[in-house]
Amino acid sequence: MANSNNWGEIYKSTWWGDKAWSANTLFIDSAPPGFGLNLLKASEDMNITRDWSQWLISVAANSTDEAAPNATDTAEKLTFTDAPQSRIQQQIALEANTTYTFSVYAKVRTGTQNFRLRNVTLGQAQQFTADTSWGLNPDDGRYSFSFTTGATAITHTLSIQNAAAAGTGEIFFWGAMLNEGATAGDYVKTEASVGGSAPAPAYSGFGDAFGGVTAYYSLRQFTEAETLNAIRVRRSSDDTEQDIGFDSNGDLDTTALLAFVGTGGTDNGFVTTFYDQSGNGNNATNSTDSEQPLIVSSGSLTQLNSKAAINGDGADDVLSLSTGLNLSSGYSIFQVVQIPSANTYGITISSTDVSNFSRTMMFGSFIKFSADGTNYDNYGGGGNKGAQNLWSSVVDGSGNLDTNRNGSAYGSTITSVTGTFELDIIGTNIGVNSFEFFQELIVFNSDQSSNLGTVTTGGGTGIEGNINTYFDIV
Amino acid sequence: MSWYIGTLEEVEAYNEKVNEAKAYKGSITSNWANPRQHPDGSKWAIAANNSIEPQEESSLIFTESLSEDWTPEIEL
Repeated sequence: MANSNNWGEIYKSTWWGDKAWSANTLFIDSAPPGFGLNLLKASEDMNITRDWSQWLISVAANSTDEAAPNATDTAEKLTFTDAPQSRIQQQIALEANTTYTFSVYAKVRTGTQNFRLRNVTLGQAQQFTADTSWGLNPDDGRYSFSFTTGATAITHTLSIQNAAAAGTGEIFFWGAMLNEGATAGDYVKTEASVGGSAPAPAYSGFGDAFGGVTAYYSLRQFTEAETLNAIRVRRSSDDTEQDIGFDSNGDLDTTALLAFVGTGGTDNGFVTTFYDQSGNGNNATNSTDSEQPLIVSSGSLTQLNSKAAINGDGADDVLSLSTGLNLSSGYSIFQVVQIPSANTYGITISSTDVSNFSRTMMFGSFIKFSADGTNYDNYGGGGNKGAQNLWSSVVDGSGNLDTNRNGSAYGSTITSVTGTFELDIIGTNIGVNSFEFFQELIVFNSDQSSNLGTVTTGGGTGIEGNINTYFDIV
Repeated sequence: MSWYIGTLEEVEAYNEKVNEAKAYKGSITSNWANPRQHPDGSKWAIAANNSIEPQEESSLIFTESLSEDWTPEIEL
């Protein structure tokens, strides 16, 4: 337990926990309890996954490439993938209302490389730039990030994480430490746990499993390792707007949403922005009131299959990407969407160009995938309208298009899909026949056919299984 | 969704009236609706705001929904 005195402060003991306590004895507070302790495990063994769980990263233990700052040991080499959520992390139970400092030694071989120290639980992080030097005497190349816990003692997740702007890169790390206090204490080595396995993260999203995502629009959280918003909402009562994020389960924060919009019969909430959670910042917005889809209707959350769903009017409701995506030479598009049964067809994504257009159009018994104005039909069974479906459209580097509906092949492979798919709009590009519900759109500018996995009832593996596990489509 | 049908000038004037009345306060929303042209080019439509009438001198025609001929033909 920490006391509230400042270091070096003379204070009168009133606390039985003080050593040699007696009432009104004077003490000099040399350091708070806990100072000098390293609360992390495996401080020099970041490859030990029962202590440090790994997310979209590779860790080379005791890399012979680099001596540690103590010039005796070897350091660990962390190779970040091109994703801001690339990281290793550890969970630690911490006291309430207490300041801690998270520190680590870091070095690169040449140039500089950014990385972050993060308290995932608090959503706080600090970015640093590692350079080519480190050492203990004098202390060099050590980076520290301080944070203060909240009113409740809980388990916190701390990460050594890629820079916010992502990019790939190698950084050597050594001597991770968490100590109580507002500054990093003298480094103390700690050993790895004996036995057991790393505890499950508080929430694991799509972005924690799959890297290389070009754009991610969803009402579920991409990763726990970033502070993210799902949507920006305009409320009907006064046309003000507010960002809405996620709850601790990675679901849309419907408590905050309904508190903002209201729960009365005339309270509606409209989506002005569908945030790109991938880290690429390619948000989809609509500045036009009458074309904004709903997320709250008459005071209630709009839902599809018991999950929050953006509710379009099936006519002209759309959201436009800030920067169009030009997809070619292998790309993959995943959509959890429903088109209205009353319409002949529904356009779920499209280009601004209506001549050499790109679109996915769902009809009653087939879908039409058009890359650049040329139609590539893909026929299959009925049931495309008025139902929640996961559509996977994967074009490989040779221009072969394969479509899956809910994890099963839909029609046969279509060849010669060589045009560039220009994805500018979530919804229609002709002012009619837009979507009814949209829950998730994931775009890779790469062929993901080897990562599709399988879909089983209530779950599955790979990309499609991950989507089905959350949305429970099958 | 209900609509007003008229000339481009009339639907733009209606849109401006709604924008002034709404005086959007958010950082994203700034416009009520986008005028929509009939495929034959002869007339325009704009989404009706149930709380705001057109100007008195306007000859906009109110309709509960747009007829099928407003839907552009697409190659199937």
